[in-house]
Amino acid sequence: MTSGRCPTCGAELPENAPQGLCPKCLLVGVAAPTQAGPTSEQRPVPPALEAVRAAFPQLEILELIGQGGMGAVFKARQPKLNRFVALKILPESMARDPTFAERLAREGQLLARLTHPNVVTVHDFGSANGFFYLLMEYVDGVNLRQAMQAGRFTAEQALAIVPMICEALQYAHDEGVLHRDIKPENILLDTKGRVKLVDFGIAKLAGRDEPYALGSNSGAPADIALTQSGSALGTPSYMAPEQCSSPSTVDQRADIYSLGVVFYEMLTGELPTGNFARPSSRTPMDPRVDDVVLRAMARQREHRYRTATEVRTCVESITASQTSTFKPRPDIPAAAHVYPIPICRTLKNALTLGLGLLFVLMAVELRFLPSHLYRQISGVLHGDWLQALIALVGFAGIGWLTLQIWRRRAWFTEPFRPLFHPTVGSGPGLTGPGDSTWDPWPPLAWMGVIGGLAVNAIWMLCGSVLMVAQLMRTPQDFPHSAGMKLLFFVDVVLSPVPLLILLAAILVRREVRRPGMPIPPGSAPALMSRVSLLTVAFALVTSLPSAIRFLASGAMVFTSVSYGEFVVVLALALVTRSRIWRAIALAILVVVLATSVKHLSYFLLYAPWEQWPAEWAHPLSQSTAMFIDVGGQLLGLLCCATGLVALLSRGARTAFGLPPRGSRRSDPSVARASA
Amino acid sequence: MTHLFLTTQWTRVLAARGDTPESRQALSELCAAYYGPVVAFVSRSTRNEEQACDLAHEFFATILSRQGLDGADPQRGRFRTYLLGAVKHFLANQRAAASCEKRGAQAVHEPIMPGTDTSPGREIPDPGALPADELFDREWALNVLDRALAVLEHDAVSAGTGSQFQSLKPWLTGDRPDLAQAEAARMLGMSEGAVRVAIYRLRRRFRELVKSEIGQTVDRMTTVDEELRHLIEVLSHPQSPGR
Repeated sequence: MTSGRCPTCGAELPENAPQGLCPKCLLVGVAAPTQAGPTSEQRPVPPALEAVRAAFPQLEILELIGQGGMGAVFKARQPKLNRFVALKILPESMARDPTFAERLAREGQLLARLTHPNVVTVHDFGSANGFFYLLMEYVDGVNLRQAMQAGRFTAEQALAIVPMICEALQYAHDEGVLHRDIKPENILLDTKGRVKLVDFGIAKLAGRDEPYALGSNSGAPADIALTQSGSALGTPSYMAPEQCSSPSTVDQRADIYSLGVVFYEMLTGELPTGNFARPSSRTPMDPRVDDVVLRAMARQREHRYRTATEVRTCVESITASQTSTFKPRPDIPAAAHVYPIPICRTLKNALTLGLGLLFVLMAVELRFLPSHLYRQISGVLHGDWLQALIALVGFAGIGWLTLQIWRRRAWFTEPFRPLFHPTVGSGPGLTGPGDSTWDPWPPLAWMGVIGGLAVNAIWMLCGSVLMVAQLMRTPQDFPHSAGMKLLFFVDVVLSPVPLLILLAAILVRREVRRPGMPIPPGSAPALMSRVSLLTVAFALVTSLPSAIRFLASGAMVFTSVSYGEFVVVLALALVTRSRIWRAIALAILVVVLATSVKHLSYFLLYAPWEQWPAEWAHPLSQSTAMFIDVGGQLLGLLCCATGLVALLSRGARTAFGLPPRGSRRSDPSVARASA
Repeated sequence: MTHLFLTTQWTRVLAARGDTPESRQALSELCAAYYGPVVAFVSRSTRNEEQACDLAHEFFATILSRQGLDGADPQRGRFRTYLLGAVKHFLANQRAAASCEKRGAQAVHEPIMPGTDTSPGREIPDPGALPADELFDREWALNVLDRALAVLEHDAVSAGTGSQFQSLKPWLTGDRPDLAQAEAARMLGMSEGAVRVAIYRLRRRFRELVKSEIGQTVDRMTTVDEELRHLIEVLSHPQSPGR
């Protein structure tokens, strides 16, 4: 026999402990109150098995499997179909209500329409021999309450279950059905680990639309409330505040509140009563989970998530960043609904085309990278040892930086996850009925653009290193004044600013993903926003030297603006939802457009290639070079035009996972659900 | 679940006052099941293993051959208290008989073997040891659990899920911070949800078994919970270092 200490209670194990288990903990487990235990005497008495058998001759009634305020559930078999079903007998007190039959007929048809892999299907309903019943799909498993008793959920397990609940809820909400009684008892887990929601709309069927009596957990006929008041069903704990005060106006956000409470309970094992603690302070977990839970449970429904899909997207982005890859979760069943990006098709296509072209353009711009770098590197290496040393140290630093960023790639790209994810956005009003499939091209185009930006930034860093190395030894190569040299030096060193701006955009993005939540001063997000502001200011200041330099050398200012910078500012404008950034992005866009026009006019004016400015000379044949350059400029024009459309459009916000402006006011599914 | 507690073996024994053949059969089964605690109690009282076994056998022989249950009060009848009372009676009678002058008064009949401690004063009781009554109850509780676990294991093996039982039984003691359900799921080739369902069902069955096991030894359903509380209390006391 094993001896030692019990890992649960810490007591010493006796030598003859049964099967090496702590006897005290075993007995405590036996004595623990259970939901279905024989000790609960306050429950309403279920109908006798014989009476039910007599009333349903077409079914083989096997056993009573559950008993709650909303009736008794029997396991039964349909001999003809040879399948198990669950027969729910609604409480007698409910049936006494003369309008009940009519209400059941109306609601039953609505419930029977719900077919979803995460919703328990209603096969039939009606009345037989004085019993009002619902015939439902039989789920072989346990409910979430029982599953929680079988062991606390880890954060990962809870994060895996919540999206499935969200899917079921979103489906029902889309069908115009509110659940109104989300609680662990109504969330079933089958033996394969799938989630099934049961009892949709039963609360409404029970007449819970009437204002609630204080302290009772059911607004249904008074005797239910009385018999149930002492039981541990605890539905009021899961009810949204507005569900108690004005039940007739509840919408889908009441279900989201209840979902938040269930989520909290799964994570902490407790109900969020009184001045409750944040889940991450109870068990170690990603602090972003707190934000999701707290926002879902906001007292004011305006501050909650509007749809279950939003909750799901947030939860899945947390899960995805923890697994550090962007592949879709393998456990989502194939039959799960894939929600389309709800923006108008033309705009989506234009955006995709523009982003794709931008990607191509960047690739074209990068075509000189190898030969250009080779020439510069060989120049530096053939200089003297100091130049070479500086260059080598600089390259080592860049390599190290790249490695660090690559290691943290999940963290860096996580804020953009909605861009890569098929289930982004659910802004009502923009989804057309024809939008049935998800289009993979916009995320791909975005990935290309971000990848291109990254390569661009590395290239710029390398260029800075080489320039610094050269400047250290050959200042006489620059026939400018000392002040000009200093400006040039500063510009060269600081030219990789786009990378910093990209970082700032990511940080800001992190920040703005929590709208409606106050940010405590001194917290990490507050620090991040300060850093991002500093970075932006830094970028603005450092762009001044190059502007002055170009003005002094007689060139035009806008030649210093590149497409890469435009993309960065575009991203900033979209993620910060700031009008200032939109204005800056628009200004840069106009400048880039002008540059493209200027370049194209060069081609047209100086048609003989020999007259081209020397700086355009490159190792390719002239005709190829012209083809590439003209093509590049045309692509640039196209992408700028689509970017302009995207920036000015309303639907673009949704494409980036942001709710459209003013969308909170109207919610068409709400009206239908409460009708 | 309630039907398990309607007629317990012990109520049958009590109702018949131990007179019918069925009730005698039930009593003998009960005694067989709770042999361990009696031996532990007797050996603590007499401080002699060999003699303890003899005495315990003799005790069971007496109790099973006795006509009727003269010592049991059917109103507050628990088999545990009845058995403890009976064994105390029996030991007291034995002691009285043994201290008769003509049988050598207080002399202890002891075989002298290698390792037998013959130094004087060895009867001084171990101050850290449990009182014999408490030891009896503790052994009783362990016995109940042993039997329930054995049934659970037997059921699992005959259903072909023996390895599942072996992997999941640690969770019968509650949440296990030292073990991961995910690990168990991987080993058993099940999903985590399925493991959760299995643990829930295992616990439910164990709960039923322990309660029905206890139910066999009490006279009314309602006392099952009281008895359970008593056994938990007994197990909560710190053990003696000697055991």
